[in-house]
Amino acid sequence: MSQINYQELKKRQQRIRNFSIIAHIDHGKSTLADRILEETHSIESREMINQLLDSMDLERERGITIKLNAIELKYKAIDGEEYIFHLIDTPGHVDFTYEVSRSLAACEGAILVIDASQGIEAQTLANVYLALDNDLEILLFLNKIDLPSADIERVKHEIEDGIGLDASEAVEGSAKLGKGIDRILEQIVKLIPAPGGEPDAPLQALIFDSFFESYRGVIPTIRVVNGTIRKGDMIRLMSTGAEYEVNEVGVYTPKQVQREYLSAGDVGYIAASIKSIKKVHVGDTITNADRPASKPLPGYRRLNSMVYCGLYPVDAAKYNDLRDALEKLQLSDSSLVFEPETSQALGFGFRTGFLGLLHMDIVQERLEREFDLDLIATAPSVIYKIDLTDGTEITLENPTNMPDIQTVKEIREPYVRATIISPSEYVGPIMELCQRKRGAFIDMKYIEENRVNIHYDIPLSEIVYDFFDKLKSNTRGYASLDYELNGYKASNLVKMDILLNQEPIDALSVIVHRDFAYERGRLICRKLKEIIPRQQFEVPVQAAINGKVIARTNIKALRKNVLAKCYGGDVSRKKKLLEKQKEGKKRMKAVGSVEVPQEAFMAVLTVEE
Amino acid sequence: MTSVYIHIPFCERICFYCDFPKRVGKSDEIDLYLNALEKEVMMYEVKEKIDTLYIGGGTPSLLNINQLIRLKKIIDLFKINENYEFTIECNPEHLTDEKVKMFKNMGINRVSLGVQTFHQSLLSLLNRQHTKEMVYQAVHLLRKYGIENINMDLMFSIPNQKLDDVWNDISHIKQLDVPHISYYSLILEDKTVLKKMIKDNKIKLLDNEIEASMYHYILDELKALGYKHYEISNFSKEGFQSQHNQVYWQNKEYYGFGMGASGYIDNIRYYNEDRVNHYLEKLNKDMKPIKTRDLIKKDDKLKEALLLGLRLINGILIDDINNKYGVDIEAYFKKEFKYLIDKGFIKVSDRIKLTDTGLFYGNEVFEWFI
Repeated sequence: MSQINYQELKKRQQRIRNFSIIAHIDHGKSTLADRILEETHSIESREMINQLLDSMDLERERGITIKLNAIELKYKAIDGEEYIFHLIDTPGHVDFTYEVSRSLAACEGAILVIDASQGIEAQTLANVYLALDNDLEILLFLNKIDLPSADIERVKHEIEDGIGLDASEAVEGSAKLGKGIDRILEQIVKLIPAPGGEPDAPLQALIFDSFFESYRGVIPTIRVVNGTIRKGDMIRLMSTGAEYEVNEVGVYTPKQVQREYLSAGDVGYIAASIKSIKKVHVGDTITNADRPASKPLPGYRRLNSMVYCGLYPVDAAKYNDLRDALEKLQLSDSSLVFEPETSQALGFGFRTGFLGLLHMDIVQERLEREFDLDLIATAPSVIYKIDLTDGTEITLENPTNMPDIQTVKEIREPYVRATIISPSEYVGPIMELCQRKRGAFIDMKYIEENRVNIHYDIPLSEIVYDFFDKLKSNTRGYASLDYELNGYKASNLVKMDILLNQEPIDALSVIVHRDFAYERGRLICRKLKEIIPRQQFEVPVQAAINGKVIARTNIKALRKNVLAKCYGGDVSRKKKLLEKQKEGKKRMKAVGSVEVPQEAFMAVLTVEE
Repeated sequence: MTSVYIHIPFCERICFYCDFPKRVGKSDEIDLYLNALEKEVMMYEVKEKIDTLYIGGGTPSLLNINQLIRLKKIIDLFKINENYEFTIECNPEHLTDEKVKMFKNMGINRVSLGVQTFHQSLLSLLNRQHTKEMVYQAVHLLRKYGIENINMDLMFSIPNQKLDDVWNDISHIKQLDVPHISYYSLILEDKTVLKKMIKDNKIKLLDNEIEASMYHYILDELKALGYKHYEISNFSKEGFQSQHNQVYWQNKEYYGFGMGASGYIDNIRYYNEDRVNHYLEKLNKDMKPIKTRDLIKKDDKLKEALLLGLRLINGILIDDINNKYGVDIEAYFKKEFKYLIDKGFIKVSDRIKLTDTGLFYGNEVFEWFI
């Protein structure tokens, strides 16, 4: 192995720039990334991305890896030097805030893209704070200035007053039209500092992403902070202590390109025959097993699920298939957790934990699409903490497991600190909504004459329920929302049971605030009446708390179901009709004596139309 | 036994509930159609003598005398057996002395009248244009020319219909005393005016419970009037069961001609083009106007035999089906039969048939045989 010239490496480090692009959804992040790829002679690579994206499934099967989130680019600056850019993408959703923060931790700078007609949004703010937390240099790119509705002065004003950033250097441009790209590239060179760190120090590399390949195992994406990593090195993952031999290091261009080493300041990947993603945690530090660093990089934390739901196969015989599918997904998604659970109503399934609602949707969709499973998902629930009278504390992920009320001293539920940014004319409706959702007002600031930033502490269960939809409808879509977990608080909560044909259905139990129990009970009963088809007998639907019925309705009996006509010529058409009926039944679950369709188990999320 | 169905897809107006292949036709288009129909019939070269012939629609009775003469020419291409049954579907308002005489001349010996109801505002709601008086006149006219084998199509569970209205309709049935009644519950089909009206909240379907009680009532009342209930929706006086429809229910083969018609010949169910220009085009090119063909294999045949046969009140004679298909049907559908017997929907003795309860839940039974 060739001797490394650390002096050279230190010189090379001066030409590295690591940065992210952060933006509220739709403000033009990917268009800007596209333009940057184009301008940095990476047109070939850009074309390749498109090509590869088109045939992604196939390529994945063949083990060709495309990773868009840490691309190495070459940029020849006006000063005549060639710079090495690492463009690090970040997931843009509140469910993945921690991943975003780790990606940002791999950078020295960030380009904040703001739509010049929209201005600052809640997600913009959340991203900026994350960037500031990581001590990044923030470049401003005011996008879409060509739109007639663009109001550059107002937005600059918002940036200065609302975030406290100096907007005088902001690049005004249009990613779509390629305007302002040259200026932002030069700013990357001039304003974002080169990475620090010593190439010859003990290795400290931050894992900020990872994915799974069938043949090579887990491939972590890393930022080397100190030291150098090479093929053949024995490495150690500092949080788990697991050790591996590195068999490849490289960068993404975006295709995987092998390198001899990655050194302080570099961003790339390693392969080390890591079999289980459970060992590789985003935020963890990789060090050299033979010459370990004295301590890991700061900021690592284990991700916890925010919401849980039960996942059951419609066809009980598919239980093992569902377990296999969850295990496979877990290989590439370490934040997915699950354990077996049994429901009287739904049989054998899994209680599954997610980072948030989007994450839950994604997982459910992948299970159904990629693994061809018909699933019943119960309504998502947050994690409650319950103090029992005997002094023990339990956590409750499934409402049905609520202990006997006699033994409960206190129930606590997770709260979030919600940031809402909205035109000021909607302050009234927003505050009303937050109060109704049991929110506690924290503060309100004017970002700009007509725009406010409001903070509330709100129970996470209300966010899971319908807060975002309500916020959007109360503000005609203008308000934006971001939130972060903000501890547990005691609440007056009760378990509400739902009974079908006098039998309590465990999978339909829900935890509600006592003050809203009556209203929710009525809504759920009404919704179930809509969703559950008529059976051959009348089915009472009841909501009950501690055995006391608080709402009820009846699903009337189906008294007749027979095709009037079925002449010869009709055979195929009538068959189609019967097939539809049969198909519908496949998606139903016999719960006691009642056939219940899948959607019914989400009915507890029903909201007033 | 050989049977032929001929479809005349033209109407003067569209009934709101109808999803059959049809169009509002101009006279010259009907002429073109009849030419094509003749060509289609000739292409098949049916050698056997036919036992039942059924002209359905659409509205076959809107053909004028000249067109009926053309139709007769087509029908005369078939050899006819003794004791044949030859039915034409008619709207009451279309019958005149001249037309009924023409029917006789053509050999028609059974007429199916599209009555639906005797209730004027319900008729309007369905976009039918006759009055109850016209029904009386039509029946009178048919009898005048010796056509006694008359069916009336009636409908219940029409939006806004009350049990009293059904009672009233049945009193007219009693009065007219025709030997055959088809009593269909309104089925909301896709792509119908009615479907749209419901979607737009202009009218509401009747509650399922009311529909069921109407059906109960009809079963009881028609029985009291001396009609035998022999198929889910069909009732007849002794000796007047529809021979042609039995062919369908007994899963026998038949020829189908005309736009949108279907046939079942040599183990193949075929479905004709259901648009007039496609139908005409294919025949212009000397091709049979078939849109799709399904080869019916043994398993499908057995299922269809049950799907159709269980519609008959007497059901299916087990020996018959075992001999016809060379199976032990009880073993073949062991699981299905057990489930359905446990549910109380079917009974199995020397016959397989729906129970009184099963009659109301036929679809729950039929879905096991598709």
